[in-house]
Amino acid sequence: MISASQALADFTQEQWQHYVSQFVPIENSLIEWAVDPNKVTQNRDRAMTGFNQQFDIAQQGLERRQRSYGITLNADEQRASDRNADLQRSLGEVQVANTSRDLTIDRQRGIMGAAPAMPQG
Amino acid sequence: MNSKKGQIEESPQERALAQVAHERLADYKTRWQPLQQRTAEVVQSMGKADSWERRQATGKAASDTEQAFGAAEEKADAADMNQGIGAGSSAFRLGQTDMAADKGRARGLVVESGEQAIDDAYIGGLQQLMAIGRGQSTQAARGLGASALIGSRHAEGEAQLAASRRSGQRHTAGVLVGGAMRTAAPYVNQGINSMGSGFGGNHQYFDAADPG
Repeated sequence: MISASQALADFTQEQWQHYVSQFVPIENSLIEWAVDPNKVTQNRDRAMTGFNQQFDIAQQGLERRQRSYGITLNADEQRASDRNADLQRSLGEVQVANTSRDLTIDRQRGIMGAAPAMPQG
Repeated sequence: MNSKKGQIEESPQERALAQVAHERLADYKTRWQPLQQRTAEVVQSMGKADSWERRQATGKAASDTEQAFGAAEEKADAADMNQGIGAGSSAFRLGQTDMAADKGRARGLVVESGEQAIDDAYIGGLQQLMAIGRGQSTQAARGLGASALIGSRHAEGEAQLAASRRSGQRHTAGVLVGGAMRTAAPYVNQGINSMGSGFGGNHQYFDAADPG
């Protein structure tokens, strides 16, 4: 029969191993997210790509609506429409890029700021 | 801490502490560990670029926006026509294109906010799991402290036993040496004194009262 001290030591060891196998990978994911120097660019690119996809879908919807009304824009109307669409697209792209960058940096700093203190012996 | 046949026995409290710790771990493994593992898997997969949660969030964001703008477009078209602005007029056509650009921008922003919401949920989920893990590592450290405490108490007890054994031996040795010296002292002192005043005379080099 093992002693209580040994049983507690075994228990502690098992608990620590469980922490290492179960939670350390999670902590590593978080650390990786926080320190990845490409994360801001990746998220900004994702935001701009996503934004443009949605904008394109809306433009395709417009074409369907125009067809349903039998509308064909003349050259002036087309230019005016394109100009407005380009402006809205550019403004939106800048907005999502800035927002994505700011939020990503905030999250990275938040993770770094919430890093646990050095364990006490 | 009791002593029996020269050994330190763990107290019933210490044995109970170890037993409860063992049972708690077994219970955790049976009931909570699978749930925690599942949660960790869900959170980890949520963060991926094409995760189900992202598709769900961005898809819902897009469809909600489409629905809101769809109704607004119908109303705007109807309102224009009621005011005599027909499909043949530039005002009607450009009104439609302007609204489509607004819708495109809104869709893009709302869908991106869906992505951001998933990023938040992903990071928040990881942080919550990390907090659980931190608690566990702290518990492990506390466990180390507890087992070290029991171990140190055990060692302390052993040391006390050893010390009392040794002290008993020293006492016996002291008594023996002391007795012998008391018997021998007059002769020793006499011998030293006979060596001259350089030794200070009449010193007792062995003190029976101090067996060490």
